[in-house]
Amino acid sequence: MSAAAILLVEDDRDEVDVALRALRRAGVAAPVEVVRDGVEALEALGIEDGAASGPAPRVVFLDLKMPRVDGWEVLRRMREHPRTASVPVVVVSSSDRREDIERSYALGANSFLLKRLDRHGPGGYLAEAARYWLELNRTPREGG
Amino acid sequence: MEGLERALGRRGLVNSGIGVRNLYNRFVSEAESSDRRDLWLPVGVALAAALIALAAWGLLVAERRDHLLGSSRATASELRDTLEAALAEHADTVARLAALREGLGSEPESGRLAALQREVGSLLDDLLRGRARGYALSLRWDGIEVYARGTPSSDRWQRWWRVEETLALPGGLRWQLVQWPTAELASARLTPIPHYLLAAGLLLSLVLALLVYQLRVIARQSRFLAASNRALERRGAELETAVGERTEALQDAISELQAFNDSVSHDLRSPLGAILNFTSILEEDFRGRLLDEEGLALLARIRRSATRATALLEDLLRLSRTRRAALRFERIDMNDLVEETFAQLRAAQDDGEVDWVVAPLPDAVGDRTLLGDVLANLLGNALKYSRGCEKRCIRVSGRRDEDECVYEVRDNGQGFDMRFAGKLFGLFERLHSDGEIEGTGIGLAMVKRIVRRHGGRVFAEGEPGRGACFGFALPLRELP
Repeated sequence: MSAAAILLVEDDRDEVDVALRALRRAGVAAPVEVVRDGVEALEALGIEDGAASGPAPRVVFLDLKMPRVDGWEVLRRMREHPRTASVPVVVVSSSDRREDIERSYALGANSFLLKRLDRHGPGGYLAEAARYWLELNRTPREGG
Repeated sequence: MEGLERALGRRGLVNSGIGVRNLYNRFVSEAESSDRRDLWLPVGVALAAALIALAAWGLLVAERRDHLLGSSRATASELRDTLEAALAEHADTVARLAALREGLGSEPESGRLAALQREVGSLLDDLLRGRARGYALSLRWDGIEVYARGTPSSDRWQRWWRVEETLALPGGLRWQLVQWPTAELASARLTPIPHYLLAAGLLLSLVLALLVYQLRVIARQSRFLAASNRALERRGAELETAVGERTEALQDAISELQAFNDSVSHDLRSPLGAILNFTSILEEDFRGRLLDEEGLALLARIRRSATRATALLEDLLRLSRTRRAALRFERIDMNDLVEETFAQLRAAQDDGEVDWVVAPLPDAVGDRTLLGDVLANLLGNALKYSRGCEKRCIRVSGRRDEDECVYEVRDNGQGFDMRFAGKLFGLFERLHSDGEIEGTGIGLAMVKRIVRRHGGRVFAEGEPGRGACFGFALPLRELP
């Protein structure tokens, strides 16, 4: 288990590079761990091998459509596991179909973002979200 | 029936690939045509009936004739006996007459013949006066006529009624008594009824023949029609099955195509998104460094193309969604939906100042996602087409009429020429070139489709340079 504050679960290399650049430009200093699919994500979260060690990430950006184990499965497993049950999960998807959004929230996602290029620049939406969840939001772990 | 069907099959009418209409026409013309075979039975029946009529007539006539002949013979016999008896009493007169006759020879001179006849007549007149009424009599003596009474009927068809008796006279003499019916007797005793009956019978046989012929034709027609019905039914069933299979195949194909379409469109988003992202990054990070004005301009053109492709893709996906998605009806606070939609639009493309007025809108009953798409398109268009204005103004208003809710989006932008109003909502139709105002030509078609799916209608009016008003009306609806 790493000490990364941000866990980025994304299989598209381009998306990863854009996200990392956006986070850098937005001044997000927190370390970022990148995993390529659901299996790696579950391992990184300490769910897969059952042995918990180290802190959970402070926010998880979760792509939905991934090979092997998809985003929903990861989300479901995260919410079942006490260690990761309250970790903020931001679902990032290229489609905002109502069914997808509803299902994500039903499985326990905290937020749903649509991949887009807007006035915040490439990957800007994700950086904005990262800043919110890291700087503004409080999780039970961080409570006083 | 089996034989008939085999016959039909032999003619290839049932199993050929001809169409249903042809099949029917052929059956009808078969049924209506006459067949020589239809004639055998009626002709036979006619002949039989005619023969029976003839036989009956023949029997009737023969019976009548025998009866009349019998009574004539009886009369003649009686007459003979009477004459024989009478002449036997006048034997010497007969002998004298015989001598006279002998003297006349075979070709008597008329005067002497007349004398003889007078003699015989005076002998027989009284005797014969009251007898054999209705008959013409003639007595011949060795070939010459010695007595005649009455006029025989001149009808040669009544020759059968002639009766001849031989009188045996004293002295071995023989006289021939010939008895004919007179015209009066004939007309009294011979009725024409049998002939009428024969005529009637022949007529009847003709009628019977026609009847039988007609019945045969009808029977044949109904057999053909029954066979044709069955063939048509079978054909109909085959066609229905074929249609069913074809429809299923088509539906499968359509679903496949749609799924393919959606999946491809969806998969294209990522690469297009990457192009947009990396051209942005290039612009941001390498401006002035490796990229001069020319380089930046080229980059901008790449960006524009990729943006356009993305817009087209998004519109196609939304259009596809309007077709496929099942409508989920709910009560919608339209003010809320308008604010939400506008916020998303502004987040995506902050275009500067807009004077934005939303009047209180009546609630709508419809699918929130799809109506959200409608508003996104109409509001987005309003923003786009008023971009050049100094003071952009967008007004959203609505009202509830008797049977529908009407919503309108007004802008003070470029407007459009009402002459082309009919093309506005057509798929891929655009009234402005892409250089002036970006667009895919899908949006309004999608709006129309969504509104139509809700049972509503779309409308638009505008004036070049004076802005436009786009709107839609939804029928009032109760939630189930």
